Amino acid sequence: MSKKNIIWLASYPKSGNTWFRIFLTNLLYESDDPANINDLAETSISSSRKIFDEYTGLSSSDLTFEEIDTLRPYVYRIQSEESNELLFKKAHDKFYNVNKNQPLFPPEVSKGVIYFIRNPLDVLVSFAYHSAKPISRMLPSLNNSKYEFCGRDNKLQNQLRQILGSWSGHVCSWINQDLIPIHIMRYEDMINDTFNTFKHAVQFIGLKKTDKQIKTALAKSSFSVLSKQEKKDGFREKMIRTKFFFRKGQIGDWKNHLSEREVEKIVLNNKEIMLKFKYLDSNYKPIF
Amino acid sequence: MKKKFTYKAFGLIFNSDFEIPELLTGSGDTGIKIELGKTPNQLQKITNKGVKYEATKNEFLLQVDHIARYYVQDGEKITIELLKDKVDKEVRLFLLGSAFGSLFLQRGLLPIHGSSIKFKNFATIFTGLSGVGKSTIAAHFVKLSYQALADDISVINHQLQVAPGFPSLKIWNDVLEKLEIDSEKLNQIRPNFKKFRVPVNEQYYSEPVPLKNIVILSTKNSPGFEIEELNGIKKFTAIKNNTYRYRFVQGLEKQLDHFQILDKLLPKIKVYKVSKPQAPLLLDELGDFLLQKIELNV
Repeated sequence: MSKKNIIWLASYPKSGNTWFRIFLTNLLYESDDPANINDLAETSISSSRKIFDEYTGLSSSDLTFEEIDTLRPYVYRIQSEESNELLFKKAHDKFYNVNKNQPLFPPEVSKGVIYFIRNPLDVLVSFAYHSAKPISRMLPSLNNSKYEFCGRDNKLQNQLRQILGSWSGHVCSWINQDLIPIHIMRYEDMINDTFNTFKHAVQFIGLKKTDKQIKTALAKSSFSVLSKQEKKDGFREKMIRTKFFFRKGQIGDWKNHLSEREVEKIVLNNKEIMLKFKYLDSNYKPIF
Repeated sequence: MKKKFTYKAFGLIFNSDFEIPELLTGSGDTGIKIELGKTPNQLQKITNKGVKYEATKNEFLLQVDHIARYYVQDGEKITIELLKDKVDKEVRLFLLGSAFGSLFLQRGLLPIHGSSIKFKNFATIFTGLSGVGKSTIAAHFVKLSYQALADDISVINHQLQVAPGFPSLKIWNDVLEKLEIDSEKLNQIRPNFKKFRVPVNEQYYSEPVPLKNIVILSTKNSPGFEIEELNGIKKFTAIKNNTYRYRFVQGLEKQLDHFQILDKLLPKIKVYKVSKPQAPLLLDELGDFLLQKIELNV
């Protein structure tokens, strides 16, 4: 009998997922000092090769992308079966079926998904910085319906292949599915109305935590704490060519970096979703 | 009587129903049997299971869809039920991987997930997460004329030696280019796969060699190489975490043997964690760093 004990922390990159994972670690462990950002144990990534290889008994490096996709839902089922606790799993994949009726993320073991969304104009700036690419080279990825992580077939990459699709495609894939209960968190609300936004997420997960516990966990996960930790000990999720993972996290930083033409290109391709999540006003002008 | 093929690999003799050209031939007819036949639908008294396998204290059953089912018993016999029309390199790939791995564990041996190279009269195993560059560094040392002992699975026997596996390395195309090896004449490990079996032939050392070092490779997101010698619980945990298919060990009849080897081994070897930049692939530099810091040639 399967139990629903997995919470997916799903997002397009650079949308607040890591911040939330650090908050969650602080909330769950309640240690005196802030959680070590390099030790986010409870929040393993769903595209881990190590987990896949261990649980399937096969080397993912000897399998095709399609064979791996077919097996991934079963890995999550076994992980769910073996755990008596809630499992939090980060995912950058879009929501899709690996074969006719089987979603990559199996609903029968999923308690819910927290979906993080952020203004794609800011995502673009942050993603370009994180990937150490010029904005002009990063921009097509956000509009590319076939965009993938670790999708090269001539080398072994450190994680399993993840299909993200375009920014809008990613958002739609998750918000339009009705198999897993979803709670959407806007990055801008996480910044502007921090306590309430995080509290609603804690309630969605079903964790019984007081306001004080939430506030304490938030204080231990503040940008200044994270940035200080990274400056001191580094952060292993940073890419090598990037200076810092916790850079600015600001709303509207795109105004300092994007040309009018670049803004147009993003808006043109993503206006429906940007409108829906109030990143554009009715004249298609950016709000944030 | 049907023709049998006899091979020597990992310090063991295998008598097979079919040809396994990846392995070196051996002699003797009382080895481990590799047969084609029917496998059980499922096992009874399961002690451990995964998505594609089931294990009891002395049996292991693995299914690779569209390729084959592998049933390993008592560390003595492997039965293969084909899910395709004939034995080919795909059937052999998973035989030489997970099926062999479970056989070693059933025999109480210690298989480490990594490749090993002979330096002077001692073996060094390069291990670490999938994709970290275990076979790559082995290929680099082979190119520098060192001898290879094993790729992907390095078996430590009860005498605390690395028992040589078979004379090839599995290498991805990007690394072949870096090593300036032409992939045109090489065999792909599976059709349409850009991963190739690179024969090492005369640079294969076929006798057991005492183990001296285990190097755990890892990546970091800053430039330069770093090395740390691991001791105490960190040393134990590092080997445990890099045991080939560690999940299979749970509930095995020979689980104790496995830990006994580990216990005897720990004081006799050095274990290092070596961190290298995520990118780019600095093979010559990593090779030099290892030779120098671990004194591999001394």
